[in-house]
Amino acid sequence: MHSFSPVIETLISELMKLPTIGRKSAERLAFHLLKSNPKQAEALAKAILDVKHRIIFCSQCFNATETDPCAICANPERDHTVICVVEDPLNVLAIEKAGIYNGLYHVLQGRLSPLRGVTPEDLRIKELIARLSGAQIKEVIIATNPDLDGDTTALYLSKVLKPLSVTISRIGLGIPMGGSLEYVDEGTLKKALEGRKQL
Amino acid sequence: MGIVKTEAIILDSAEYSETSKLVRVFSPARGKLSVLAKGARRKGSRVGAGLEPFTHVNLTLYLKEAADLGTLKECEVIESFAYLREDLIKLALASLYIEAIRITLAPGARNYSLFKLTLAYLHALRKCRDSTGMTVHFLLKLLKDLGFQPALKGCVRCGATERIRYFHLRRGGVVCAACAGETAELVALNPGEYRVLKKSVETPVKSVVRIRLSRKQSKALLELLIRMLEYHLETRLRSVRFLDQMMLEIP
Ligand SMILES: [Zn+2]
Ligand SMILES: [Zn+2]
Repeated sequence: MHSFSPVIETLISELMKLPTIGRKSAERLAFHLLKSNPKQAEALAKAILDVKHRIIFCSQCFNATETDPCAICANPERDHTVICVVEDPLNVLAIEKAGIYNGLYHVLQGRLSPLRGVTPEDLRIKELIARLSGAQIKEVIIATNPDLDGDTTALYLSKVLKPLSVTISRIGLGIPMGGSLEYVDEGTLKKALEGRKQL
Repeated sequence: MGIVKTEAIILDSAEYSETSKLVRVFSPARGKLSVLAKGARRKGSRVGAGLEPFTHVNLTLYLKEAADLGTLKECEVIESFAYLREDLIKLALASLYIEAIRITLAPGARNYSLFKLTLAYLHALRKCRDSTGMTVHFLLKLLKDLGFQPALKGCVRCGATERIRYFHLRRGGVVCAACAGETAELVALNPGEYRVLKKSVETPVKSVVRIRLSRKQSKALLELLIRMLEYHLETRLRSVRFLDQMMLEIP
């Protein structure tokens, strides 16, 4: 079987470690980079390293940020009595882009998954409970994705947050089952947030 | 082969690309199949909801000759087992069962009896109070279907039917106090647990749901069955981590 030079093979196998990238896509990307001018490849390499070196997680909400606390947590204009709980920083981005929410966030950095062996210990749930026990939080809006793992995460959160004196609600309206927050348009996201149901 | 219609249970579901999902399914006629669902993650997709784990569906696939990767054309939900989204313990138990199937099932291996058993389990689990005990019964039937039926008639070493005290993982059966010896492959089994185990194995699926277990028996036997499964499958089950945690947190 014909195989590529080890140098190209290494790049392909590194690319394949990225989510949703299979062998074919990795080969296509690798040869695109090979053809592109050196400046472009260097810029990409630098951007990847910058993300790893300069981006940290906010010590309050665990969103990806360059400063700690992040710009959202540090903003006095935002409503510091509401926390929207999401799976990952991409979901924060989606909600922020829609410009429909002015409270704080809590990024779980994942979701519960019995089939993948992801348990509460693997997520930032302890940190969420700690935030709620101390501060002036009145409402928690759970905005996990509307699929099995997202529902599982919401169900578990509603159980562990219940003893705390906060209102717990879950967004849902209009986002299709098995869908994902990232790919929902702003109008639907707005309706989902407004139509949140108390748990 | 072309267009194929098959009933199926979704075993797991993963993102494949920005718009598509790759799911693994259990088809009674074709064993384990991978199915690529193009556009399933797109807004307004009509198939997305049917591709969540545990869902019982009718699939229309495009399947190439001798391939175990199909492309999804249509997906019709028969039963979504939505109760699993309201009960973390039942979800954890069902995950254990489904994961064991995902690991053992081979592509192309038709298995109608196991399919029926799995559906019976998912339906029985909805109504039952002792979900752990129910899972014990069905995992025993699952082991039998996989060819790992535990030998319970008497000690697998000397044949004795008295003083049965252990289950021997490698020998796949019970051993008496005299034959036990010292090995890490022994799991303690008290007389009550032994009796329930025997009764459950001898009882057909239809009636097995009526055998009641005490809470202690359910827990001990579930643990034993997990060890048997992991021993035979030669792997750790990922869902056990979640199950253990939920059992601890939810009394
Ligand atoms: Zn923050
Ligand atoms: Zn013996």
